[in-house]
Amino acid sequence: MADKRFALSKAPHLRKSDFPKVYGTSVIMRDLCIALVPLILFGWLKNGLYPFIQIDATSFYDCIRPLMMVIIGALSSFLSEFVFFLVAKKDKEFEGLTNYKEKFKYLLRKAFKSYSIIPGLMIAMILPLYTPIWVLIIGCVFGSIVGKMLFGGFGYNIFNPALIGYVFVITAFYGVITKNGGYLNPSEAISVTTGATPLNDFKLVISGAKTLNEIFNVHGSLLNFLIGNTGGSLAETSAILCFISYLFLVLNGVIDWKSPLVYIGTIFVFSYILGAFLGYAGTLNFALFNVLSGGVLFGAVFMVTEPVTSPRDPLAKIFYAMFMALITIMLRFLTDFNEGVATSILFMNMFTPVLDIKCAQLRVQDIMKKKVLGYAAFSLIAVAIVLFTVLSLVGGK
Amino acid sequence: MFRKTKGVHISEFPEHKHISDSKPIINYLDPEFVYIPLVEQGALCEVKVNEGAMVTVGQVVAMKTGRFGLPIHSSVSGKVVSCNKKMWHSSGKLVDCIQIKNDFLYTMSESIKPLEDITPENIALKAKDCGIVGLGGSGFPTYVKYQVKTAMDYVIINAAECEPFITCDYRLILEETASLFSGIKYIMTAVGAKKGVIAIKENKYEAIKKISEYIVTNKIMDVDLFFLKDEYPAGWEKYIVQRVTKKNYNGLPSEAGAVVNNVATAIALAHAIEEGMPLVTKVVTFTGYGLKNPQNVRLRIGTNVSEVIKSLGGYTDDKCDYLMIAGGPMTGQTVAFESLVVNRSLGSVLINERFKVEELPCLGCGKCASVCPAHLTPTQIKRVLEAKDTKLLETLKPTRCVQCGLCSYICPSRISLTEAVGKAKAFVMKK
Repeated sequence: MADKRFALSKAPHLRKSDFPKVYGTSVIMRDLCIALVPLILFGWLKNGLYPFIQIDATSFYDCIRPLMMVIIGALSSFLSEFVFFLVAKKDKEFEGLTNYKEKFKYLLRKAFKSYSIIPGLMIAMILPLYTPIWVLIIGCVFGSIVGKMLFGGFGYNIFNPALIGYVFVITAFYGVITKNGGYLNPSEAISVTTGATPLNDFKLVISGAKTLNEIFNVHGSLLNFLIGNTGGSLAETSAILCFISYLFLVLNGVIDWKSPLVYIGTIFVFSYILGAFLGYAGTLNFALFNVLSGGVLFGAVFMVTEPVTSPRDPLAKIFYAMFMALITIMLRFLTDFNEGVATSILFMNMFTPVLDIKCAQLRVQDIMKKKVLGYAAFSLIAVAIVLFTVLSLVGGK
Repeated sequence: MFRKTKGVHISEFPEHKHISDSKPIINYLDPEFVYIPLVEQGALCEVKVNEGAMVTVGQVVAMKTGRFGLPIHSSVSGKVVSCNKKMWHSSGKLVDCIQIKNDFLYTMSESIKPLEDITPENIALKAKDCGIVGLGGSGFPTYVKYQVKTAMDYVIINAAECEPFITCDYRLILEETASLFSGIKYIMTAVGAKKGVIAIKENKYEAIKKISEYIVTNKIMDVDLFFLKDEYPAGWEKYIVQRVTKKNYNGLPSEAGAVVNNVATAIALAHAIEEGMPLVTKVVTFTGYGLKNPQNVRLRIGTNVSEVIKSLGGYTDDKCDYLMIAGGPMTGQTVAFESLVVNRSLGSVLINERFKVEELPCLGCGKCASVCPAHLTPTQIKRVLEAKDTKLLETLKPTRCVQCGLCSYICPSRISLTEAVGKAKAFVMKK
């Protein structure tokens, strides 16, 4: 009797990824893109359509500009990875292909598989509205090539590629961007006399030149901040839509629900403490303003949880979000630098491997003394950052 | 206080139990040949019969020597054809077997007689003589569990059956409720426990109904039901003991004052004591989408699985690329050939389609760490293992891994994490 032959494999033989159309890395990345869509549409409504209807002087080009920026951003990221695969990462399979059509298809598939449009999409969303298109393209190419491909491509990058591109552009071309129109859309440019975003004005609150209420008078009430009808980056201002995206991502199992909440919660508490030193004790407005401005919510939902560059360990994720929040506030209160969120995320990205291994050890630690010491070390660092910030803020007065 | 082991309820986790759980157990007790495997828990056994000898049902044909020694019985009566017939074993290896030609008379061995004097020592001895092992999959000799130094608080019957596809324990509860309860009674006597607990998953409504009806009609006071959440791995010994006794243990469950036995083991013990029957038959689930007619089948130990599959109607698609898995889909071992023998710890045979999906680089989502029931971080262990840093690897405690398979199951990039952690475990243990 002939024995029927079977294939061999290692346990488990049942996997969630058996059906890659339903569950898998591609689905996670697709959901991430879907979650960005409402924010992009809102950015277009606020920065493109609304000024177009309200002000006669704006051209049709201004109307579609937000959408165009997003599309160009995604495309330039995609193309730069396509070219990178063509030039630098030829493998055996590529060499084996003979005609150009097959080679082209192969490269296209490669670029799709490394989810190349996401950095470009995000860079376009967090840049100011009137960033010149050539600056945007430079940012996307820099982010994709230097931030991602040079580290080894998808899954191996240490820093968030979108933020690498963003920070590069904003530091190198800030003058060019402001000259070209900066953050404010045509209708805001008329109403906001100073020509600054809420966060620019906030620096004046810290130095005592303005009060918080003056900011609210210029930029509208907290409700305005919730809807997102304030000056800021292209498509990250709406708090409500960020929250909806958060719910969507959590319910689809794309992101961990804890780390965004820890990040926002820490910012809220810490800024309330600092606000009390600045004379805003007893009102939540100061803390709420800090949470709702400067892309904190967008960062919390899409950047803190960015899977590749954030820690893998559940405990590490919490510490990561907490430290990041502390650094965000530190940068925001102690420097003249506007990009607290982006810089703090890039800064904490560096610590991801350390946090990962330390927290993995801490979670399986049986000896109570060592466990307590581990937690104590982490909390000491946090307390040190808080104390340092408070002392320098109060001492600077 | 201790850190509880974790279970994960995965709502979309398909249990696939419906394909075999409504059908009564059928018998396939008349194979022409049986092949008694000479490997028990990885240890070789000593043959006690010669080629050409006549054996009876229940006669000891081999002996597992060493620490947890155990007799191995013939499951049919007839003539020994060969003592080194090579057959496939559920461990995925080719092993020597004693081939016995069935004479279909089923002459019983003289040693088969019920236990009259029921004392703790006698029960443990009978369990040893009848070759009873843990039928949940481990194959650990049961009598060792009964040799306790102090009286236990609980006897826990593990009826969780948390692996997908398998339904043999569920069917046994429905069909042999009375034997199950007498089995619990004997185990309680053996270890001096006052309380028996049947730990069952809360979504097995039929079985829960049957057990509670039995408890009510027979006015049983000392056996309770304990509901486990619909989680995987709810059938893990530590998981159950921690939840039932609210105590932790490091080595054996007896540290927490509990003895855990599987449903099938308790029923086998009841048969051994009441009828003197050694473990020569067992119920195996034949299931999977590759089989035309998934069923629970009562078999003699040593039956060739390919005969049973043929008698069940064969495969749904003969050309399809199937996997044959001995055991459950999460922890089982694939077998290369159809001629697998039924050994004592084989719980199910699963024929399923093989999925070929490519592996992607780690996305870093951390789902593996968040589902691990032992609170390990598989991605870190894999990375440190690849770096061969033994000292660092030890601090990550891969030895706690129970190979439940959840990390590989959940991984969206289809990385074989369970395999990597298993390697790390072996690597650390070797040091």
